[in-house]
Amino acid sequence: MRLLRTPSPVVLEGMLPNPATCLARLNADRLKKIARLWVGKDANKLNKEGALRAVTHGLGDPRAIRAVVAGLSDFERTGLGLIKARGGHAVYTEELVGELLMFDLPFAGKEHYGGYHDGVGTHFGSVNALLDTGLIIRIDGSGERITRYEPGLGVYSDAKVLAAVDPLVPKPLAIEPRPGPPAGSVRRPTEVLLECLALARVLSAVPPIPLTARGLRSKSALARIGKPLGWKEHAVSLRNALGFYLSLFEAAGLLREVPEERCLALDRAHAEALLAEPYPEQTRRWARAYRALLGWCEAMPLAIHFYADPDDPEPSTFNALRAALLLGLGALPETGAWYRVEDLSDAIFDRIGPHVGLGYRRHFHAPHGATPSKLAALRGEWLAAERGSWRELEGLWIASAVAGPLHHLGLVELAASGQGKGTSEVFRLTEMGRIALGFHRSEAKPVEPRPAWVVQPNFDIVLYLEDAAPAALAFIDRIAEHRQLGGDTALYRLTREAIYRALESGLAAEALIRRLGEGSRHPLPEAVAHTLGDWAARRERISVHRNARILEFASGAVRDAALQAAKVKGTAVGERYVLVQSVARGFQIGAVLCYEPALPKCLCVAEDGEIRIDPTTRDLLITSELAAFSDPISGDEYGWRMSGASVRRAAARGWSATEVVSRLGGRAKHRLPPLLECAVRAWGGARTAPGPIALPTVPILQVGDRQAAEAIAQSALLRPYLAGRLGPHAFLSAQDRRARSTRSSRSLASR
Amino acid sequence: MSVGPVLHTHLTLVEVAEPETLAEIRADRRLGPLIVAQLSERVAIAAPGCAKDLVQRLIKAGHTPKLIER
Repeated sequence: MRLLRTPSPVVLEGMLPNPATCLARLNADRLKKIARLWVGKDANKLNKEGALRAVTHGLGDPRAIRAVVAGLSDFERTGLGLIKARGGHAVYTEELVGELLMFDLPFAGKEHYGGYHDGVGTHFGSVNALLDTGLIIRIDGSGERITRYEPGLGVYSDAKVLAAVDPLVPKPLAIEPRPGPPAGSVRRPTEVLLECLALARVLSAVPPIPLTARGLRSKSALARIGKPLGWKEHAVSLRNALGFYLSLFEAAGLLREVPEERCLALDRAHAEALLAEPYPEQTRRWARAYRALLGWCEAMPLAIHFYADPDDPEPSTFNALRAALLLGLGALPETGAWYRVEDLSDAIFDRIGPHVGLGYRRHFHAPHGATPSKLAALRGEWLAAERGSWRELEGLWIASAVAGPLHHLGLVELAASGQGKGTSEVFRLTEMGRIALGFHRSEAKPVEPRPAWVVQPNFDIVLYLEDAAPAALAFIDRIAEHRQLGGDTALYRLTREAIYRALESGLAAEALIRRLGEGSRHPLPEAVAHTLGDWAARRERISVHRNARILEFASGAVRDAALQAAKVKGTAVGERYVLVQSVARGFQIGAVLCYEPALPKCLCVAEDGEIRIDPTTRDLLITSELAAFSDPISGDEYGWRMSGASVRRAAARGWSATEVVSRLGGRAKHRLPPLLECAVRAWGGARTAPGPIALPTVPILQVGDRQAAEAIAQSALLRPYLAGRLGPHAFLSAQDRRARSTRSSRSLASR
Repeated sequence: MSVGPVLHTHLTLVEVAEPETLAEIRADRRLGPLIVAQLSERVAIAAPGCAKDLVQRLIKAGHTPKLIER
């Protein structure tokens, strides 16, 4: 089924085409060039099929792969290493563009610009250079190069090729550390986690988010989610915080599209697992998700509006810049030092500026016959103009990204440096930022799990954030209601509703009470433990079984014998029923009646109101249903009769005539007799049919209502009393039976 | 006629610990209409397809039902 939204990298991993199929789409010339990697100059002698065979054979041979990878340029190995570093095989094209250019390595076509009509330009030049090796393949399976008109969603590489590659480290950015204060504004991982937990909790409680025909999230659904969260922009220092977090969840694979239902639904198991992971791992995941974020942007300067739609859930230049920015932060010369945001922006420009931009990028055109010195001067002027434009547009965006999502996710610490007019914003990587963005795998110091909360006798829980491991925080958030966040603590309260939700989500009552006590700095107050046990026990008082199976036996003795012989496992219910857990193989069942999606059809309904139940398909609900609007025929187990009195009784209890007809029609094995339908409507007061009736000297039956007239015309019951039909509303009555005919017709109209 | 017991599938059942609770549910004007048949003094059948609605109404009425999926 077609997806309305662009699949996240996590989802993309499950949609990768077969490499051999994609390679077969390339033309002979390109295949031969690729085959040269595997068989050398002999590739020139091969035809298309031969070249394809050589490449696919090589891709299946680990030794040949190692040899090919060893012969790759640094640029090519960097490209493959960047894909490998993600932990998967696929990457959005735009992300790879940003990261490859940040490595500042030479590649074929880096400086080539073919003029205004050049669809390739220098933006996608790096990825095209890699595509030419055949070691990465377009996810859409196309053999064409990537152009700005058809950018292609992403690329991927074979798992065996990636296994042979060691990711490379970029050279440090040319950027000077600046003096900064001892400490700045930093968001702790616990604060980020609390917000993610809150969003996950709300997404679990509300229906999935419907998608519009364009694949955008329904605005009413967003309002429904936003209200309980109560996030205000000034409180979370983030533009459209809800949009950001939803996109982040989607990019991390926690929120997934359900194409059959055209909606986005939370993957609860995945979300619970991720939110209980250690903080460094969570931060790494959020950084990766931020890089692949779609449908949200940090800032939208007016000049960009012409080129980009921030709501469009497609990879765009924003993704290229995010990838470049994160890689740049990982390539800072001193990881613990303060830097100016403007300096970071300039350093990124030096690497990618001439190729990637949010707005229109002006390329350098060398005038014909210019001397080298003139050329250098002109290039310098062009570069200075481009840098100025970058500072006004991309520089502003970078400042918004650092102060917005990067600070919000706890990756950078912010502060102001200098005084008066010389004040500038400085930043430095946090410990989590260094772990998540650094190229050398490092871990935070392992923290011994310590009791992290105190349960008060008034059911409040004071949670000490410094000591709270993610799993502990997720546990408290699951069993209690969040009340307040202040300084180093968060306040929760145990309520009956929260405990009920926790138990319904699969947590056992004993485990809940035990874990609450184990994580507490003081023993759990006895009254609290007692009340929790009581709340849990209340849940056992009523059970709603969905999709339950009931076996109906002929008698209690037969039922008990089947249970005793272990032919049926389950609970005895009433006199002769069993709520079934399982049935032994070979146990003979007489009939199976399924109650959904529609109830069994087991009735035969006559025109005069007599209802007969088919004993072979009689279900457990039919008698109680019939009792609502008909009366049992005494001495007949399967016979019921509907009359004016029984329908009027039902009407008095709130049944409408339409409901009675619909219920009866749904259970009848045939179409309801029209006369009876008409009669039920009349009995139920839905209409005054059949209207005025008169038998003049000439015996004519006149019926005011057209529908009632049709019913009379089709009626087998009235046929003997009618000699013929005179028109749409009149019948010629049989002379000797006219009194009875009028009486029967009047019974239809009686109310 | 059938030679063995009849298996009724895809039913929504309400099971209570005490018969009084079922009587209380049946008497409630928001919950009563959803109960369509009673198999014993502690087990009743709810209208087909209304399990989630029933659970929500029970919660609204102050109960804490356990939803058991087969």
